[in-house]
Amino acid sequence: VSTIHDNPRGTSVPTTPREDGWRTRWGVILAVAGSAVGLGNLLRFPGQVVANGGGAFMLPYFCAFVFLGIPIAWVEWTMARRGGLRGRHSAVGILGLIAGNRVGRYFGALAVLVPAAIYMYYVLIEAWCLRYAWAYLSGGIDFGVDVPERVRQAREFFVRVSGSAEHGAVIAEGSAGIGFWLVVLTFNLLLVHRGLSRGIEAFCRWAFPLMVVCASVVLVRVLTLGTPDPAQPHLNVLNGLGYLWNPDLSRLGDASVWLAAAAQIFFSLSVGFGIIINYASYMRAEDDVVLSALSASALNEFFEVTFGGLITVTAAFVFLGASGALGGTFALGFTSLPAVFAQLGSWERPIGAAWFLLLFLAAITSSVSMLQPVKAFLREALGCSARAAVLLLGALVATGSFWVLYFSADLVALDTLDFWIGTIAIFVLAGVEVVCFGWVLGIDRGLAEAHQGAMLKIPRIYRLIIKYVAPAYLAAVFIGFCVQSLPEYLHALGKRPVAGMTVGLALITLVALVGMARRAERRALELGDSSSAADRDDSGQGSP
Amino acid sequence: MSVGGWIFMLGSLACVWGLTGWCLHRVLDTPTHPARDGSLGARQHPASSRSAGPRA
Repeated sequence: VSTIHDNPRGTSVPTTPREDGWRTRWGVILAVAGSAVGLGNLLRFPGQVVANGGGAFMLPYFCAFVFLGIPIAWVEWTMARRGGLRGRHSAVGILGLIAGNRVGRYFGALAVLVPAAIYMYYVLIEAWCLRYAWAYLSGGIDFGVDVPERVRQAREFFVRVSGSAEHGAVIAEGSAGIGFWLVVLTFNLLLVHRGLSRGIEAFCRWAFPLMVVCASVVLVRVLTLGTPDPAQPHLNVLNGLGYLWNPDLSRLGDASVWLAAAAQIFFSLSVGFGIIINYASYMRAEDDVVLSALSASALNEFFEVTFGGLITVTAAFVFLGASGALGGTFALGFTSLPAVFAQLGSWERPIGAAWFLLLFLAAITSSVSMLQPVKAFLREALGCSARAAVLLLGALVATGSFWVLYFSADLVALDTLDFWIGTIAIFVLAGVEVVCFGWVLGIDRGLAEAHQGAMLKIPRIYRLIIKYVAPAYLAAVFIGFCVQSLPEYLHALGKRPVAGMTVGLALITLVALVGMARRAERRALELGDSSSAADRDDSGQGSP
Repeated sequence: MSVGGWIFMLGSLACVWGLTGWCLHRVLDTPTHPARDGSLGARQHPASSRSAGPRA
Protein backbone atom coordinates (compact mmCIF):
# COMPACT_ATOMS: atom_id res chain seq x y z
CA VAL A 1 0.00 0.00 0.00
CA SER A 2 1.06 3.54 -0.27
CA THR A 3 0.23 6.66 1.51
CA ILE A 4 1.08 8.88 -1.39
CA HIS A 5 0.55 7.12 -4.67
CA ASP A 6 -3.10 7.77 -5.28
CA ASN A 7 -2.72 11.06 -6.96
CA PRO A 8 -0.47 11.31 -9.98
CA ARG A 9 0.68 14.79 -9.16
CA GLY A 10 0.80 13.85 -5.54
CA THR A 11 3.30 11.19 -6.41
CA SER A 12 5.30 13.74 -8.27
CA VAL A 13 5.89 16.09 -5.42
CA PRO A 14 4.77 14.29 -2.30
CA THR A 15 7.83 14.81 -0.29
CA THR A 16 7.88 18.15 1.32
CA PRO A 17 7.23 18.13 5.00
CA ARG A 18 4.78 20.93 4.44
CA GLU A 19 2.77 18.98 1.93
CA ASP A 20 2.62 15.64 3.63
CA GLY A 21 3.20 16.51 7.20
CA TRP A 22 6.33 14.37 7.43
CA ARG A 23 7.83 16.51 10.11
CA THR A 24 10.00 13.79 11.54
CA ARG A 25 12.14 11.19 9.92
CA TRP A 26 10.17 8.55 11.77
CA GLY A 27 7.18 9.87 9.85
CA VAL A 28 9.04 9.12 6.65
CA ILE A 29 9.90 5.62 7.83
CA LEU A 30 6.32 4.90 8.78
CA ALA A 31 5.08 6.09 5.41
CA VAL A 32 7.67 3.97 3.62
CA ALA A 33 6.94 0.97 5.78
CA GLY A 34 3.21 1.39 5.34
CA SER A 35 3.73 1.16 1.62
CA ALA A 36 5.32 -2.25 1.89
CA VAL A 37 2.38 -4.20 3.23
CA GLY A 38 -0.45 -5.70 1.23
CA LEU A 39 -2.38 -8.89 0.67
CA GLY A 40 0.47 -10.15 -1.50
CA ASN A 41 2.72 -10.26 1.57
CA LEU A 42 0.37 -11.53 4.23
CA LEU A 43 -1.99 -13.79 2.30
CA ARG A 44 -0.61 -14.68 -1.16
CA PHE A 45 2.95 -15.44 -0.04
CA PRO A 46 1.94 -18.07 2.56
CA GLY A 47 -0.43 -19.63 0.03
CA GLN A 48 2.34 -19.88 -2.54
CA VAL A 49 4.76 -21.34 0.01
CA VAL A 50 2.34 -24.09 0.95
CA ALA A 51 1.22 -24.77 -2.63
CA ASN A 52 4.83 -25.18 -3.71
CA GLY A 53 6.12 -27.49 -1.02
CA GLY A 54 7.23 -25.24 1.85
CA GLY A 55 11.02 -25.37 2.07
CA ALA A 56 11.24 -26.20 -1.63
CA PHE A 57 9.88 -22.76 -2.42
CA MET A 58 12.19 -20.62 -0.31
CA LEU A 59 15.46 -21.09 -2.19
CA PRO A 60 13.97 -20.17 -5.60
CA TYR A 61 12.18 -17.35 -3.83
CA PHE A 62 15.35 -15.71 -2.50
CA CYS A 63 17.15 -16.30 -5.83
CA ALA A 64 14.27 -14.53 -7.56
CA PHE A 65 14.52 -11.63 -5.14
CA VAL A 66 18.25 -11.10 -5.72
CA PHE A 67 18.49 -11.84 -9.44
CA LEU A 68 15.07 -10.66 -10.63
CA GLY A 69 13.18 -8.62 -8.05
CA ILE A 70 15.80 -6.03 -7.17
CA PRO A 71 17.21 -5.49 -10.70
CA ILE A 72 13.83 -5.35 -12.38
CA ALA A 73 12.57 -2.97 -9.71
CA TRP A 74 15.48 -0.66 -10.65
CA VAL A 75 14.64 -1.18 -14.33
CA GLU A 76 10.97 -0.36 -13.90
CA TRP A 77 11.47 2.69 -11.71
CA THR A 78 14.11 4.03 -14.11
CA MET A 79 12.11 3.44 -17.28
CA ALA A 80 9.03 4.96 -15.67
CA ARG A 81 10.88 8.12 -14.72
CA ARG A 82 12.43 8.35 -18.18
CA GLY A 83 8.98 8.09 -19.72
CA GLY A 84 7.48 10.53 -17.26
CA LEU A 85 10.12 13.15 -17.99
CA ARG A 86 9.06 12.87 -21.64
CA GLY A 87 5.38 13.23 -20.91
CA ARG A 88 4.37 9.56 -20.78
CA HIS A 89 2.65 8.27 -17.69
CA SER A 90 0.93 5.08 -18.82
CA ALA A 91 2.68 1.77 -19.40
CA VAL A 92 1.54 1.89 -23.02
CA GLY A 93 3.22 5.23 -23.60
CA ILE A 94 6.36 4.42 -21.62
CA LEU A 95 7.05 1.02 -23.18
CA GLY A 96 6.26 2.49 -26.60
CA LEU A 97 8.78 5.25 -25.93
CA ILE A 98 11.51 2.91 -24.71
CA ALA A 99 10.95 0.32 -27.46
CA GLY A 100 10.58 3.02 -30.08
CA ASN A 101 7.85 1.13 -31.89
CA ARG A 102 4.25 0.04 -31.60
CA VAL A 103 5.15 -3.43 -30.38
CA GLY A 104 6.23 -1.82 -27.13
CA ARG A 105 2.88 -0.09 -26.88
CA TYR A 106 1.05 -3.38 -27.36
CA PHE A 107 3.04 -4.99 -24.59
CA GLY A 108 2.10 -1.92 -22.58
CA ALA A 109 -1.54 -2.98 -23.01
CA LEU A 110 -0.61 -6.07 -21.01
CA ALA A 111 0.48 -3.73 -18.22
CA VAL A 112 -3.05 -2.32 -18.20
CA LEU A 113 -4.70 -5.74 -18.22
CA VAL A 114 -2.63 -7.00 -15.28
CA PRO A 115 -3.76 -4.48 -12.63
CA ALA A 116 -7.34 -4.48 -13.95
CA ALA A 117 -7.65 -8.27 -13.88
CA ILE A 118 -5.90 -8.66 -10.54
CA TYR A 119 -8.15 -5.98 -9.10
CA MET A 120 -11.17 -8.09 -10.07
CA TYR A 121 -10.30 -10.72 -7.48
CA TYR A 122 -8.27 -8.54 -5.13
CA VAL A 123 -11.36 -6.49 -4.29
CA LEU A 124 -13.17 -9.69 -3.39
CA ILE A 125 -10.47 -10.62 -0.88
CA GLU A 126 -10.71 -7.12 0.53
CA ALA A 127 -14.39 -7.73 1.08
CA TRP A 128 -13.58 -10.97 2.90
CA CYS A 129 -11.21 -9.04 5.20
CA LEU A 130 -13.90 -6.50 5.97
CA ARG A 131 -16.44 -9.21 6.63
CA TYR A 132 -14.07 -11.05 8.97
CA ALA A 133 -13.35 -7.80 10.84
CA TRP A 134 -17.08 -7.17 11.15
CA ALA A 135 -17.69 -10.73 12.33
CA TYR A 136 -15.07 -10.34 15.05
CA LEU A 137 -16.47 -6.98 16.12
CA SER A 138 -20.07 -8.15 16.18
CA GLY A 139 -19.39 -11.49 17.83
CA GLY A 140 -20.20 -13.46 14.69
CA ILE A 141 -17.10 -15.60 15.15
CA ASP A 142 -17.04 -18.03 18.04
CA PHE A 143 -15.20 -21.17 17.10
CA GLY A 144 -15.25 -22.90 20.48
CA VAL A 145 -12.36 -24.21 22.55
CA ASP A 146 -11.66 -27.66 21.14
CA VAL A 147 -8.85 -27.37 18.56
CA PRO A 148 -10.21 -29.74 15.87
CA GLU A 149 -13.67 -28.22 16.23
CA ARG A 150 -12.19 -24.73 16.03
CA VAL A 151 -10.35 -25.58 12.82
CA ARG A 152 -13.46 -27.17 11.32
CA GLN A 153 -15.60 -24.14 12.12
CA ALA A 154 -12.96 -21.74 10.81
CA ARG A 155 -12.99 -23.62 7.51
CA GLU A 156 -16.78 -23.67 7.38
CA PHE A 157 -16.88 -19.94 8.01
CA PHE A 158 -14.43 -19.33 5.18
CA VAL A 159 -16.42 -21.55 2.83
CA ARG A 160 -19.51 -19.48 3.64
CA VAL A 161 -17.75 -16.13 3.21
CA SER A 162 -15.99 -17.07 -0.01
CA GLY A 163 -18.83 -19.16 -1.44
CA SER A 164 -16.35 -21.86 -2.36
CA ALA A 165 -18.93 -24.64 -1.89
CA GLU A 166 -20.70 -23.97 -5.19
CA HIS A 167 -21.11 -21.36 -7.89
CA GLY A 168 -23.42 -18.51 -6.91
CA ALA A 169 -23.26 -19.37 -3.21
CA VAL A 170 -22.35 -15.81 -2.19
CA ILE A 171 -25.30 -14.39 -4.08
CA ALA A 172 -27.62 -17.05 -2.71
CA GLU A 173 -26.58 -16.03 0.79
CA GLY A 174 -28.25 -12.67 0.20
CA SER A 175 -27.31 -9.23 1.36
CA ALA A 176 -24.68 -10.39 3.84
CA GLY A 177 -22.72 -12.10 1.08
CA ILE A 178 -22.89 -9.54 -1.67
CA GLY A 179 -23.20 -6.44 0.55
CA PHE A 180 -19.57 -6.33 1.65
CA TRP A 181 -18.41 -6.75 -1.95
CA LEU A 182 -20.63 -3.91 -3.16
CA VAL A 183 -19.55 -1.60 -0.35
CA VAL A 184 -15.84 -2.25 -0.97
CA LEU A 185 -16.16 -1.95 -4.76
CA THR A 186 -18.05 1.32 -4.50
CA PHE A 187 -15.64 2.69 -1.92
CA ASN A 188 -12.69 1.88 -4.18
CA LEU A 189 -14.24 3.67 -7.15
CA LEU A 190 -15.10 6.68 -5.04
CA LEU A 191 -11.51 6.87 -3.83
CA VAL A 192 -10.21 6.62 -7.39
CA HIS A 193 -12.57 9.35 -8.50
CA ARG A 194 -11.81 11.73 -5.68
CA GLY A 195 -8.26 10.69 -4.88
CA LEU A 196 -7.37 9.23 -1.53
CA SER A 197 -8.21 11.76 1.10
CA ARG A 198 -5.49 13.05 3.34
CA GLY A 199 -7.49 11.66 6.22
CA ILE A 200 -7.03 8.12 5.01
CA GLU A 201 -3.37 8.76 4.35
CA ALA A 202 -2.94 10.05 7.88
CA PHE A 203 -4.96 7.12 9.18
CA CYS A 204 -2.67 4.66 7.40
CA ARG A 205 0.28 6.35 8.98
CA TRP A 206 -0.88 5.54 12.50
CA ALA A 207 -2.65 2.36 11.48
CA PHE A 208 0.61 0.89 10.26
CA PRO A 209 2.38 0.89 13.63
CA LEU A 210 -0.79 -0.62 15.06
CA MET A 211 -0.58 -3.37 12.47
CA VAL A 212 3.06 -4.03 13.32
CA VAL A 213 2.13 -4.29 17.01
CA CYS A 214 -0.82 -6.52 16.17
CA ALA A 215 1.28 -8.71 13.87
CA SER A 216 4.02 -8.93 16.51
CA VAL A 217 1.51 -10.08 19.13
CA VAL A 218 0.19 -12.71 16.74
CA LEU A 219 3.73 -13.76 15.80
CA VAL A 220 4.70 -14.24 19.44
CA ARG A 221 1.51 -16.22 20.05
CA VAL A 222 2.15 -18.41 17.01
CA LEU A 223 5.74 -19.09 18.05
CA THR A 224 4.59 -20.06 21.54
CA LEU A 225 1.75 -22.33 20.43
CA GLY A 226 3.74 -25.46 21.20
CA THR A 227 1.52 -28.44 20.38
CA PRO A 228 -2.06 -27.16 20.52
CA ASP A 229 -3.66 -30.52 19.75
CA PRO A 230 -2.09 -33.24 21.93
CA ALA A 231 -3.78 -35.88 19.78
CA GLN A 232 -1.52 -34.82 16.90
CA PRO A 233 1.90 -34.21 18.47
CA HIS A 234 3.66 -33.87 15.11
CA LEU A 235 1.66 -30.70 14.41
CA ASN A 236 3.82 -28.40 16.50
CA VAL A 237 5.57 -25.07 16.02
CA LEU A 238 9.04 -26.45 15.41
CA ASN A 239 7.78 -28.73 12.69
CA GLY A 240 5.83 -25.79 11.28
CA LEU A 241 9.01 -23.72 11.09
CA GLY A 242 10.78 -26.72 9.63
CA TYR A 243 8.12 -27.04 6.96
CA LEU A 244 8.92 -23.47 5.88
CA TRP A 245 12.68 -23.45 6.33
CA ASN A 246 14.07 -26.97 5.98
CA PRO A 247 15.78 -26.80 2.58
CA ASP A 248 14.09 -29.22 0.21
CA LEU A 249 16.24 -29.69 -2.85
CA SER A 250 14.06 -32.39 -4.36
CA ARG A 251 11.83 -29.93 -6.24
CA LEU A 252 14.52 -27.59 -7.52
CA GLY A 253 14.15 -29.20 -10.94
CA ASP A 254 10.48 -28.26 -11.08
CA ALA A 255 10.18 -25.13 -13.23
CA SER A 256 6.71 -24.35 -11.91
CA VAL A 257 8.19 -23.76 -8.42
CA TRP A 258 10.73 -21.30 -9.86
CA LEU A 259 7.96 -19.65 -11.87
CA ALA A 260 5.75 -19.31 -8.80
CA ALA A 261 8.65 -17.92 -6.74
CA ALA A 262 9.55 -15.31 -9.34
CA ALA A 263 5.92 -14.35 -9.84
CA GLN A 264 5.44 -13.97 -6.07
CA ILE A 265 8.39 -11.58 -5.94
CA PHE A 266 6.98 -9.61 -8.86
CA PHE A 267 3.48 -9.61 -7.36
CA SER A 268 4.45 -8.31 -3.96
CA LEU A 269 6.99 -5.80 -5.29
CA SER A 270 4.42 -4.71 -7.91
CA VAL A 271 7.10 -5.25 -10.55
CA GLY A 272 5.69 -6.15 -13.97
CA PHE A 273 2.37 -5.15 -12.50
CA GLY A 274 1.71 -1.91 -14.35
CA ILE A 275 1.52 0.09 -11.12
CA ILE A 276 5.08 1.21 -10.41
CA ILE A 277 5.56 2.15 -14.05
CA ASN A 278 2.71 4.62 -13.66
CA TYR A 279 3.61 5.72 -10.16
CA ALA A 280 7.32 6.31 -10.73
CA SER A 281 6.68 8.20 -13.96
CA TYR A 282 5.92 11.23 -11.82
CA MET A 283 9.37 11.30 -10.23
CA ARG A 284 11.75 14.12 -11.04
CA ALA A 285 15.14 14.00 -12.69
CA GLU A 286 16.97 14.59 -9.41
CA ASP A 287 15.10 11.89 -7.49
CA ASP A 288 16.98 8.81 -6.32
CA VAL A 289 15.28 5.87 -8.01
CA VAL A 290 18.03 3.45 -6.99
CA LEU A 291 17.66 3.86 -3.24
CA SER A 292 13.91 4.24 -3.50
CA ALA A 293 13.43 0.98 -5.37
CA LEU A 294 15.86 -0.90 -3.12
CA SER A 295 14.33 0.42 0.11
CA ALA A 296 10.82 -0.44 -1.01
CA SER A 297 11.94 -3.92 -2.06
CA ALA A 298 13.78 -4.57 1.20
CA LEU A 299 10.88 -3.44 3.36
CA ASN A 300 8.55 -5.56 1.33
CA GLU A 301 10.72 -8.60 1.99
CA PHE A 302 10.91 -7.79 5.66
CA PHE A 303 7.13 -7.96 6.05
CA GLU A 304 6.60 -10.81 3.67
CA VAL A 305 9.12 -13.17 5.24
CA THR A 306 8.75 -12.08 8.87
CA PHE A 307 5.01 -11.76 9.17
CA GLY A 308 3.57 -13.45 6.08
CA GLY A 309 5.86 -16.44 6.39
CA LEU A 310 6.48 -16.96 10.08
CA ILE A 311 2.90 -16.30 11.16
CA THR A 312 0.61 -17.78 8.55
CA VAL A 313 2.67 -20.70 7.28
CA THR A 314 3.57 -21.86 10.77
CA ALA A 315 -0.01 -21.48 12.01
CA ALA A 316 -1.36 -23.25 8.96
CA PHE A 317 0.96 -26.20 9.53
CA VAL A 318 0.19 -26.39 13.24
CA PHE A 319 -3.58 -26.31 12.83
CA LEU A 320 -4.16 -27.77 9.39
CA GLY A 321 -1.11 -29.88 8.63
CA ALA A 322 0.93 -29.72 5.44
CA SER A 323 -1.68 -31.32 3.23
CA GLY A 324 -4.70 -29.79 4.95
CA ALA A 325 -3.40 -26.28 4.37
CA LEU A 326 -3.94 -26.53 0.62
CA GLY A 327 -7.06 -25.09 -0.95
CA GLY A 328 -6.58 -21.77 -2.68
CA THR A 329 -3.73 -19.29 -2.73
CA PHE A 330 -5.39 -16.67 -0.58
CA ALA A 331 -7.43 -18.98 1.66
CA LEU A 332 -4.70 -19.91 4.11
CA GLY A 333 -4.77 -16.74 6.19
CA PHE A 334 -8.52 -16.98 6.55
CA THR A 335 -8.63 -20.60 7.62
CA SER A 336 -5.61 -20.80 9.90
CA LEU A 337 -5.36 -17.44 11.67
CA PRO A 338 -8.80 -17.51 13.31
CA ALA A 339 -7.63 -20.71 15.02
CA VAL A 340 -4.60 -18.76 16.31
CA PHE A 341 -6.72 -15.85 17.48
CA ALA A 342 -8.92 -18.28 19.40
CA GLN A 343 -5.82 -19.15 21.44
CA LEU A 344 -5.63 -15.55 22.67
CA GLY A 345 -8.46 -15.91 25.18
CA SER A 346 -10.24 -12.65 25.85
CA TRP A 347 -8.01 -10.93 23.29
CA GLU A 348 -9.44 -13.05 20.48
CA ARG A 349 -12.06 -10.57 19.31
CA PRO A 350 -10.04 -7.32 19.50
CA ILE A 351 -6.95 -8.85 17.91
CA GLY A 352 -8.99 -10.67 15.26
CA ALA A 353 -10.95 -7.55 14.42
CA ALA A 354 -7.84 -5.36 14.36
CA TRP A 355 -5.91 -7.83 12.20
CA PHE A 356 -8.56 -8.11 9.50
CA LEU A 357 -9.48 -4.43 9.62
CA LEU A 358 -5.85 -3.39 9.18
CA LEU A 359 -5.44 -5.98 6.44
CA PHE A 360 -8.44 -4.43 4.76
CA LEU A 361 -6.89 -0.96 5.02
CA ALA A 362 -3.58 -2.24 3.69
CA ALA A 363 -5.44 -3.81 0.80
CA ILE A 364 -7.65 -0.90 -0.09
CA THR A 365 -4.80 1.48 -0.80
CA SER A 366 -3.21 -1.22 -2.97
CA SER A 367 -6.40 -1.84 -4.89
CA VAL A 368 -6.88 1.86 -5.51
CA SER A 369 -3.35 1.96 -6.89
CA MET A 370 -4.33 -0.84 -9.30
CA LEU A 371 -7.16 1.24 -10.68
CA GLN A 372 -5.12 4.41 -11.20
CA PRO A 373 -3.03 3.19 -14.17
CA VAL A 374 -6.13 1.80 -15.86
CA LYS A 375 -7.93 5.06 -15.38
CA ALA A 376 -4.94 6.99 -16.74
CA PHE A 377 -4.84 4.69 -19.77
CA LEU A 378 -8.57 5.05 -20.47
CA ARG A 379 -8.24 8.81 -20.40
CA GLU A 380 -5.19 8.65 -22.61
CA ALA A 381 -6.82 6.31 -25.12
CA LEU A 382 -10.31 7.77 -25.20
CA GLY A 383 -9.59 11.37 -24.32
CA CYS A 384 -12.52 11.30 -21.93
CA SER A 385 -13.10 13.14 -18.69
CA ALA A 386 -12.03 11.76 -15.34
CA ARG A 387 -15.66 11.05 -14.43
CA ALA A 388 -16.30 9.16 -17.67
CA ALA A 389 -13.08 7.19 -17.22
CA VAL A 390 -14.10 6.16 -13.70
CA LEU A 391 -17.57 5.14 -14.88
CA LEU A 392 -16.09 3.03 -17.67
CA LEU A 393 -13.52 1.61 -15.31
CA GLY A 394 -16.23 0.84 -12.77
CA ALA A 395 -18.30 -1.02 -15.36
CA LEU A 396 -15.26 -3.03 -16.47
CA VAL A 397 -14.01 -4.08 -13.06
CA ALA A 398 -17.48 -4.60 -11.57
CA THR A 399 -18.35 -6.98 -14.40
CA GLY A 400 -15.09 -8.88 -14.03
CA SER A 401 -15.28 -8.95 -10.26
CA PHE A 402 -18.89 -10.19 -10.36
CA TRP A 403 -17.68 -13.02 -12.59
CA VAL A 404 -15.13 -14.00 -9.92
CA LEU A 405 -17.74 -13.59 -7.18
CA TYR A 406 -20.29 -15.76 -8.96
CA PHE A 407 -18.00 -18.56 -10.13
CA SER A 408 -16.77 -19.21 -6.64
CA ALA A 409 -16.85 -23.02 -6.41
CA ASP A 410 -13.35 -24.05 -5.29
CA LEU A 411 -12.44 -20.41 -5.99
CA VAL A 412 -11.94 -21.48 -9.59
CA ALA A 413 -12.27 -18.07 -11.25
CA LEU A 414 -10.11 -16.40 -8.60
CA ASP A 415 -7.32 -18.95 -8.77
CA THR A 416 -7.44 -19.02 -12.57
CA LEU A 417 -6.97 -15.26 -12.79
CA ASP A 418 -4.30 -15.37 -10.10
CA PHE A 419 -2.34 -17.94 -12.07
CA TRP A 420 -2.73 -16.74 -15.66
CA ILE A 421 -2.60 -13.01 -14.88
CA GLY A 422 -1.07 -12.79 -11.39
CA THR A 423 1.68 -15.24 -12.32
CA ILE A 424 2.13 -15.76 -16.08
CA ALA A 425 1.27 -12.27 -17.37
CA ILE A 426 3.34 -10.56 -14.68
CA PHE A 427 6.25 -12.85 -15.48
CA VAL A 428 6.04 -12.05 -19.21
CA LEU A 429 5.72 -8.34 -18.60
CA ALA A 430 8.73 -8.29 -16.28
CA GLY A 431 10.69 -10.10 -19.00
CA VAL A 432 9.68 -7.56 -21.62
CA GLU A 433 10.75 -4.73 -19.34
CA VAL A 434 14.18 -6.09 -18.55
CA VAL A 435 14.87 -6.83 -22.24
CA CYS A 436 13.69 -3.34 -23.19
CA PHE A 437 16.04 -1.84 -20.62
CA GLY A 438 19.11 -3.98 -21.19
CA TRP A 439 18.95 -4.44 -24.95
CA VAL A 440 16.68 -1.81 -26.51
CA LEU A 441 17.40 1.23 -24.38
CA GLY A 442 20.89 -0.12 -23.80
CA ILE A 443 22.46 -1.09 -20.49
CA ASP A 444 24.84 1.89 -20.43
CA ARG A 445 22.17 4.47 -21.17
CA GLY A 446 19.80 2.73 -18.81
CA LEU A 447 22.21 2.69 -15.88
CA ALA A 448 23.24 6.28 -16.57
CA GLU A 449 19.57 7.18 -16.42
CA ALA A 450 19.15 5.26 -13.15
CA HIS A 451 22.14 7.01 -11.60
CA GLN A 452 20.79 10.43 -12.42
CA GLY A 453 20.08 11.99 -9.04
CA ALA A 454 21.08 8.82 -7.19
CA MET A 455 23.24 8.89 -4.09
CA LEU A 456 23.47 5.11 -4.22
CA LYS A 457 25.11 3.46 -7.22
CA ILE A 458 23.96 0.16 -8.61
CA PRO A 459 26.74 -2.43 -8.04
CA ARG A 460 28.61 -3.27 -11.25
CA ILE A 461 27.63 -6.92 -11.03
CA TYR A 462 24.06 -5.87 -11.74
CA ARG A 463 25.14 -4.63 -15.15
CA LEU A 464 25.68 -8.28 -16.07
CA ILE A 465 22.63 -9.42 -14.16
CA ILE A 466 20.28 -6.99 -15.88
CA LYS A 467 21.64 -7.56 -19.36
CA TYR A 468 22.29 -11.30 -19.32
CA VAL A 469 21.37 -13.14 -16.14
CA ALA A 470 17.82 -11.88 -15.59
CA PRO A 471 16.63 -12.41 -19.20
CA ALA A 472 18.28 -15.83 -19.32
CA TYR A 473 16.83 -16.73 -15.90
CA LEU A 474 13.33 -15.71 -17.01
CA ALA A 475 13.66 -17.48 -20.34
CA ALA A 476 14.95 -20.70 -18.74
CA VAL A 477 12.17 -20.79 -16.16
CA PHE A 478 9.50 -20.01 -18.74
CA ILE A 479 10.74 -22.59 -21.23
CA GLY A 480 11.05 -25.14 -18.43
CA PHE A 481 7.50 -24.42 -17.35
CA CYS A 482 6.19 -24.68 -20.92
CA VAL A 483 7.88 -28.05 -21.37
CA GLN A 484 7.08 -29.53 -17.95
CA SER A 485 3.76 -28.11 -16.89
CA LEU A 486 2.02 -26.06 -19.57
CA PRO A 487 0.26 -29.02 -21.22
CA GLU A 488 -1.11 -30.00 -17.83
CA TYR A 489 -2.40 -26.49 -17.16
CA LEU A 490 -3.96 -26.27 -20.62
CA HIS A 491 -5.58 -29.66 -20.11
CA ALA A 492 -7.00 -28.41 -16.81
CA LEU A 493 -8.43 -25.38 -18.61
CA GLY A 494 -10.16 -27.68 -21.05
CA LYS A 495 -11.61 -29.79 -18.26
CA ARG A 496 -12.90 -26.85 -16.24
CA PRO A 497 -15.17 -24.73 -18.43
CA VAL A 498 -15.25 -21.81 -15.99
CA ALA A 499 -11.46 -21.66 -15.91
CA GLY A 500 -11.32 -21.76 -19.71
CA MET A 501 -13.94 -19.05 -20.04
CA THR A 502 -12.12 -16.89 -17.47
CA VAL A 503 -8.91 -17.05 -19.50
CA GLY A 504 -10.91 -16.42 -22.67
CA LEU A 505 -12.47 -13.29 -21.20
CA ALA A 506 -9.04 -12.06 -20.10
CA LEU A 507 -7.75 -12.55 -23.65
CA ILE A 508 -10.72 -10.69 -25.13
CA THR A 509 -10.05 -7.84 -22.71
CA LEU A 510 -6.40 -7.82 -23.77
CA VAL A 511 -7.36 -7.60 -27.44
CA ALA A 512 -9.67 -4.68 -26.64
CA LEU A 513 -6.87 -2.97 -24.72
CA VAL A 514 -4.47 -3.44 -27.64
CA GLY A 515 -7.08 -1.80 -29.86
CA MET A 516 -7.29 1.07 -27.41
CA ALA A 517 -3.50 1.29 -27.35
CA ARG A 518 -3.60 1.83 -31.12
CA ARG A 519 -6.16 4.55 -30.57
CA ALA A 520 -3.99 6.12 -27.88
CA GLU A 521 -1.08 6.06 -30.32
CA ARG A 522 -3.12 7.91 -32.93
CA ARG A 523 -4.24 10.45 -30.37
CA ALA A 524 -0.66 11.01 -29.25
CA LEU A 525 0.37 11.61 -32.87
CA GLU A 526 -2.50 14.03 -33.37
CA LEU A 527 -1.37 15.89 -30.27
CA GLY A 528 2.14 16.21 -31.62
CA ASP A 529 3.51 13.11 -29.93
CA SER A 530 4.24 14.92 -26.75
CA SER A 531 1.94 14.49 -23.84
CA SER A 532 -1.61 13.30 -23.99
CA ALA A 533 -4.42 15.47 -22.77
CA ALA A 534 -5.11 13.04 -19.99
CA ASP A 535 -1.53 13.26 -18.81
CA ARG A 536 -1.65 17.02 -18.76
CA ASP A 537 -4.97 17.04 -16.96
CA ASP A 538 -3.87 14.52 -14.38
CA SER A 539 -0.62 16.26 -13.67
CA GLY A 540 -2.30 19.55 -13.00
CA GLN A 541 -4.87 18.48 -10.48
CA GLY A 542 -4.74 17.59 -6.87
CA SER A 543 -7.70 15.27 -7.18
CA PRO A 544 -8.12 13.97 -10.73
CA MET B 1 13.40 -28.44 12.29
CA SER B 2 16.73 -29.62 10.98
CA VAL B 3 20.09 -27.90 11.55
CA GLY B 4 20.00 -26.86 7.89
CA GLY B 5 16.60 -25.35 8.49
CA TRP B 6 17.84 -23.30 11.44
CA ILE B 7 20.83 -22.06 9.43
CA PHE B 8 18.65 -21.23 6.43
CA MET B 9 16.07 -19.43 8.56
CA LEU B 10 18.49 -17.42 10.67
CA GLY B 11 20.68 -16.58 7.66
CA SER B 12 17.72 -15.50 5.56
CA LEU B 13 16.17 -13.41 8.31
CA ALA B 14 19.54 -11.80 9.06
CA CYS B 15 20.00 -10.89 5.39
CA VAL B 16 16.48 -9.52 4.97
CA TRP B 17 16.51 -7.60 8.24
CA GLY B 18 20.04 -6.36 7.60
CA LEU B 19 19.22 -5.10 4.12
CA THR B 20 16.08 -3.40 5.41
CA GLY B 21 17.95 -1.75 8.26
CA TRP B 22 20.75 -0.63 5.95
CA CYS B 23 18.26 0.89 3.50
CA LEU B 24 16.39 2.71 6.25
CA HIS B 25 19.68 3.99 7.59
CA ARG B 26 20.62 5.30 4.13
CA VAL B 27 17.21 6.89 3.71
CA LEU B 28 17.47 8.64 7.06
CA ASP B 29 21.09 9.55 6.53
CA THR B 30 20.55 11.14 3.16
CA PRO B 31 21.18 14.87 3.33
CA THR B 32 18.42 17.26 2.43
CA HIS B 33 18.90 19.66 -0.43
CA PRO B 34 17.02 22.73 -1.60
CA ALA B 35 13.95 22.07 -3.71
CA ARG B 36 13.96 23.12 -7.32
CA ASP B 37 10.88 25.17 -6.56
CA GLY B 38 12.05 27.68 -4.01
CA SER B 39 8.56 28.19 -2.73
CA LEU B 40 8.70 24.83 -1.03
CA GLY B 41 11.92 25.49 0.80
CA ALA B 42 14.22 22.69 1.85
CA ARG B 43 12.67 19.25 1.56
CA GLN B 44 13.48 15.68 2.39
CA HIS B 45 15.69 14.01 -0.13
CA PRO B 46 13.51 12.21 -2.64
CA ALA B 47 14.85 8.86 -1.60
CA SER B 48 13.38 9.38 1.80
CA SER B 49 9.88 9.39 0.57
CA ARG B 50 9.83 8.05 -2.93
CA SER B 51 10.34 4.64 -1.54
CA ALA B 52 6.73 4.63 -0.61
CA GLY B 53 5.57 3.07 -3.81
CA PRO B 54 2.43 1.03 -4.01
CA ARG B 55 2.69 -2.60 -3.12
CA ALA B 56 0.29 -5.38 -3.64
